[in-house]
Amino acid sequence: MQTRSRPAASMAPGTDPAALRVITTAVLVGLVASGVALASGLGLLAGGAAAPRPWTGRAPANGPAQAAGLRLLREAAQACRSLPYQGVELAWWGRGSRAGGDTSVVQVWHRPGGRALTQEPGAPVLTQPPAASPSASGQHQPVAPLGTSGPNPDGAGALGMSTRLVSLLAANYEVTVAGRGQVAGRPARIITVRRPGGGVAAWFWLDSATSLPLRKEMFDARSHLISSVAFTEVSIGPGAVSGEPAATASAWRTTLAPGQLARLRASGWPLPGPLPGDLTLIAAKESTTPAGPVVDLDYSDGLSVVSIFVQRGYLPTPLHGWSQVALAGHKVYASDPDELCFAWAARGFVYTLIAAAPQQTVGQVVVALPHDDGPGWLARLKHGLQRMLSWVRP
Amino acid sequence: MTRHLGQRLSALIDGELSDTQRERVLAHLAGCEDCRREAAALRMLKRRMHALGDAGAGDALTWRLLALGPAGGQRPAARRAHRPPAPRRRRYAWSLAAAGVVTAGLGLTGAVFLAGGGRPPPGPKVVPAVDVFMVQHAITTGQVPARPSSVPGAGTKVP
Repeated sequence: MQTRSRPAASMAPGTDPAALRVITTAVLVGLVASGVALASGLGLLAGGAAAPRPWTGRAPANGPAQAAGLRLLREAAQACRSLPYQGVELAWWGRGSRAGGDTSVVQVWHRPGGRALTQEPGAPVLTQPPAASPSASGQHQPVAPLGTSGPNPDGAGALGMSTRLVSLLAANYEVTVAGRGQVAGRPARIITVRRPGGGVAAWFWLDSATSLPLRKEMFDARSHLISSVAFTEVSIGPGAVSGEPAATASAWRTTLAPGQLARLRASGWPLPGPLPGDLTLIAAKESTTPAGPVVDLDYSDGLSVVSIFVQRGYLPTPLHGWSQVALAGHKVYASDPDELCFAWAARGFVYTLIAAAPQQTVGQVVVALPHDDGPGWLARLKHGLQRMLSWVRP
Repeated sequence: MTRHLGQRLSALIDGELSDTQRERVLAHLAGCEDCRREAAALRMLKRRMHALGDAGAGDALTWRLLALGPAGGQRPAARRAHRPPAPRRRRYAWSLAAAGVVTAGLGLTGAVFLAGGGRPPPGPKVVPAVDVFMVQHAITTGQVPARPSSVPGAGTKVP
């Protein structure tokens, strides 16, 4: 009769099943540890998101096609500043593969040197102050809460373009002239913006006569349409603007210079620099609320724009009007069904993120910012130990 | 009145008496019928006990039986033979000590965890002014963010 197992003493060390299991486990653990160490070194893990990331795509093209596309976009940015125009925009924002989304209609007025005024039909107006208006006086402008008939934030300069955004587009995307089309009865040239990997990121329709942007469509990394803004009717040129309403809101005037940001960071404010997704800090502003100061950090890669509002404090629980969702592995609050506005609290600060960006980019940004998900119980143990020691040695 | 042998009889059976004591006991047995019957019964009992081999009571039973005896009293050799050996007693003591330490550690950790709860987070309680933030974001973007449902009058929604 055969025995089911052999005595351990008679086995060679390399054939003992227990020893083989131990050796296999050790090899696997070593491989995983090596992978983690390598990924950490390359800055690929979430914790290193704020650090400079390695270039993973191919560099934007610098050929004649790219130059022609960029030249047209720079002309469009100039037209956005200098041309008077008035019209009606139809805007849609979705989430790629999801059906539905929000659609809005806004009326737009713009006079040279200023920014566009937008208003939904029959509602008060949101104004965009001139770009050169920010004050360096350091005074805090009080936040003006919006009432139930407040201005429309949706259509604020939906097709607006600036030289700064065009520069970021040139750095992060490939821009080419794709052809010609028509928008609101006006001939237009179509500009294609591609990601370094080759996928289409956006299309612009620029007015053939003036280069004013007439239509814009954005796509996520899987080439799903995520936003579309277009003039349904537009008048351009002297005498085109009339009957614009008075402005009722404006941007925070206290801009934060790099030195002021550095001082805030030194005093404990978590104000990140570059963010994942090639997002560059393009503006930093500050205002005050009854709960204290709020810092507004705006990031862009030329197409997407992400605003992060940071303020000291913590969120009440429950947070009425918000729903708790899981985003990129973190529990956050979402303020709307489309989940483009998120809030959470971590390490004594409240973060509110508002994004006009693909969902993948939003997830990368959320991961890169502080969260309290992990070490909560450790902090509680530490605090409990301190409290008990204080009982012994008051 | 004749005094019988009592415990000396079992000592005789177990061979624990000195020569002088054994002579006295044997002299008594020669003249005492009762003690001879008891000695015979004890020998028979001892033989039967030997016939049982090494089978013995469990440790727990042994310790309970030992606990019934008088403190410091004289213990028969047969009972001493059933006491657990010293290494086993030490393991038992170490196990008890380890269990005590683990229990105390868990209890202390739980107490520390409970004491650490209920701490109010630092700073003021903040409800994000999402409507204000939306306006600032819109001013920055030049694009079309989704209109939050919490912002009344934020655009004409087309079904």
